[in-house]
Amino acid sequence: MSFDLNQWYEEKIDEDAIFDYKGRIDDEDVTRILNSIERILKAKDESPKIFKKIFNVLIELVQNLHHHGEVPANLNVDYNKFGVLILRDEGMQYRISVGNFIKIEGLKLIRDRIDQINTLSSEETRNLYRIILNNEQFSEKGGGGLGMVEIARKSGNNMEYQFIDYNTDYLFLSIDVVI
Amino acid sequence: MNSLVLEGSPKTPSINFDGEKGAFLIEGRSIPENSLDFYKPVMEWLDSYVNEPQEETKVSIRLEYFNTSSSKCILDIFKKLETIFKRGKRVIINWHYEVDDEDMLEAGEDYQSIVKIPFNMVEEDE
Repeated sequence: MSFDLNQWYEEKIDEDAIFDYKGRIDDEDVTRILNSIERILKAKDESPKIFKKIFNVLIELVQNLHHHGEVPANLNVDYNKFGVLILRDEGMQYRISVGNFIKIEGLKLIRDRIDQINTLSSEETRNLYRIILNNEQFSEKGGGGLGMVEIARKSGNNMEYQFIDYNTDYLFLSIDVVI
Repeated sequence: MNSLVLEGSPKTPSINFDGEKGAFLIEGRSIPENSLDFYKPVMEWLDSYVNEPQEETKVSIRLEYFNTSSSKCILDIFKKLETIFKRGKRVIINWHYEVDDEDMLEAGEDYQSIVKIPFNMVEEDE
């Protein structure tokens, strides 16, 4: 049974979902997504502290989709950055779910990275952030590997992830961050 | 020394570097997808300023949000200012953060742990 993206997406959208997006993640889409979520959270009158945490984590997650969201040929779309994002208000916490396709060879790198970050205490996360910040290396995308550390640090929680088989070249990676 | 003025946008901060007065301001949001492109002219301007700095350079950072793509560029700005500082000129960095925004205060402390110039942490009402 192969992975059905639409079914996966629909199952995520229940009454707790306050924002959902599936599609192209170009520069202007990143802007639109962030603007929409900012409007929704402001309308909910969320505390500035929580609002900022959510927004900081969202910026990194959406820009990750922009930089890494691959498009398998059989999606039949005319763009080359694809991603999914759902924001849920679960009462006591917010949950951000993101999903994107990755090439199979990228699996180990991403899994090891998330596993490593998930084992760290908040103090260790902060120290790792400072080390990477000062290592004078930029990735070609400019981030230099700080994004995942920042997500863990700002959310204060482990990232929950799942790699789902898609076809011979691609996996679907979903990441949940709870704030 | 001329000035560098860049207007802010929803994803990029306003930059106002007054070379005559030695007064620098970065304000707003710095969340561009590609921060290297945005900060390139800032770095180039600073390279010139470092060669003929004022006796005192006063820097105010008043950011609401910045992404990790910007964070290394901001560090690079501080490192250029550190060059002036190490040559005996006065450099003051005022790191502004909104009251209760512990994350932004911590971000200032992160830079302070790396950069030799003393930071003033300035708490502001919303």
